[in-house]
Amino acid sequence: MNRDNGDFLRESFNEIPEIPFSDELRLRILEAAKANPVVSRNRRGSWKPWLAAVSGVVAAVFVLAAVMAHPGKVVPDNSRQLASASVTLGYRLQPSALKVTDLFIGTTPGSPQNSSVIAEVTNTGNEPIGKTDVVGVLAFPMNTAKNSLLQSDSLFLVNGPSQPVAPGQSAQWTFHPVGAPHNTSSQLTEQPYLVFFTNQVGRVQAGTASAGAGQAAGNAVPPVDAATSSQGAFSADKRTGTASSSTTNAANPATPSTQSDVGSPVASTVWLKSPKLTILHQEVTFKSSGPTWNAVRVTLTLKNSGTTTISLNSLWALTWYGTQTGQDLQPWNWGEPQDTRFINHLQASSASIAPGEQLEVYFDLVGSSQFDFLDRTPHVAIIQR
Amino acid sequence: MDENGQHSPRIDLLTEWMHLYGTDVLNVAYSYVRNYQQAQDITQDVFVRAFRKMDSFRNESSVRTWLLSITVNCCKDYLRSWQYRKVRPEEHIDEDGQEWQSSLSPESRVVQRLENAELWQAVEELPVKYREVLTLFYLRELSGQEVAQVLRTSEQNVRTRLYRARVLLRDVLEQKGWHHEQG
Repeated sequence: MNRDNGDFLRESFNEIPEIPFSDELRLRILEAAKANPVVSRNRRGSWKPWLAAVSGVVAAVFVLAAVMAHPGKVVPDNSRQLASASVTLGYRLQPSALKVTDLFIGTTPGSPQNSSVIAEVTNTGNEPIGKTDVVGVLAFPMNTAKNSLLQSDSLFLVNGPSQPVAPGQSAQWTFHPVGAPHNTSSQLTEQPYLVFFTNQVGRVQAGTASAGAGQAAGNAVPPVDAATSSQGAFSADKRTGTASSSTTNAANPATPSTQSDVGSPVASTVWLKSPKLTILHQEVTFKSSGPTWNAVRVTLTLKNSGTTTISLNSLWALTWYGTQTGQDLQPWNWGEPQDTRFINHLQASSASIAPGEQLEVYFDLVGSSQFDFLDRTPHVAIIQR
Repeated sequence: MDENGQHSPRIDLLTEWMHLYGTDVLNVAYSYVRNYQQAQDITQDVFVRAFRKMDSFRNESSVRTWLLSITVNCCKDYLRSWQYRKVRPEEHIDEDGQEWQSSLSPESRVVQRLENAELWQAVEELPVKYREVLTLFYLRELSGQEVAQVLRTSEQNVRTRLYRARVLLRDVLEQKGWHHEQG
């Protein structure tokens, strides 16, 4: 390299081959663009934005009147439907009697080897527990020693076991998490963590308890990592799906890596909505599809109305598609058994949102090909951990 | 435009953009992620985003630098994601796999030649901040000002990074025996 370095580089780079832009890729992009109607809350019928604006003003007047009449009190039940979206501060999740007694990565019929999560679950309660009686959170924690929902690469909201589990009985539960951390052979690469809550999701409101929330905002418990109170780490051999039977270490407090949450003290969990983040805009666009699945991207414009920078690492997006009748009546409630629910980390070009700033964030939802994501508007709540 | 964007001027414009700048976007994406499939996915993402945001394009920069700016953002998002951290970025192709090679698409064969080019291998050893300026300046032949627009930094910063990138690249190449005979 005795010659001028720049000239040499320019000549040398000219000899580097260029990857061609194939017709196949061109067609693929065109299909994605054509199948990509922008679903936006701003794009309704011409009269609906006006109606929404007028309704919003009326709702604001009602809420203001309620607050002035009862400062710091619960919003009266008869106004709940009107004001619920604006006063819900978070969600209280009660631990289910369905306990995870064994959990490992394994293989289920029709899925690649070691690409599924398999659990043994035990009903420690007095009533049978069916598929829709519980909502589970399946996480792939970054640091398995912490066994935490908070620091996880990937999260899923899941149903209970497909068949009801009688009191005192155990059953096998399986789930194939599409999009969880995996290698090129589709094998899951991180140890899972699973916890079940009852489907009776309560609402944490400003003022006193309401709708089963049982928690006032003034002394609302901070977001609790349910994992730390219910379940420990998993042994390494479970990664391969060759785990042996479950063991309970509750009697040995010196061993934190209990594999069973049976008999362990469990606490309720509160997921608080981010108080300073406002969703200014929301849209759903087609992303990709396969023979049995389809995926969309949800893009949100968030505004930080607070005075401190908010890290995206501390946020979850809770997304749910309600049933036709339920979603308008209780837009805060994602615990309905028929709801289709998702929980995601947020991605963006920036890792945080500065005070007063707006940021476009996004996350992807993957569902069965039978589920039409674009036909309905999702409810999204930003949970701050 | 109709709801699905079919048979519309916007689709025509998207087609033209792909014709003019598709290779730029794909190759820049590949330079970041070094995985052909992922580069294709990002290229799709870039053009779909651009399609959706056509109306917001304000001609403050060229379409090319706008698209490449979106590309860089998408790639950096990907490089920050768990997928990049967990999945091996490049499927290096076995040079002895003749039978397999025969089934490769023309594009994959180019990727193979690219990966076998010593200069490219040297570039890949550099940190992203230097790799990106080299790629945009030398491979895509953008001006210093255009590189600055794409990377949303100052032209002076681009010049500084280019200088350091050349020095680093020279060191790497010299270690590979590219001394006098290559120069």
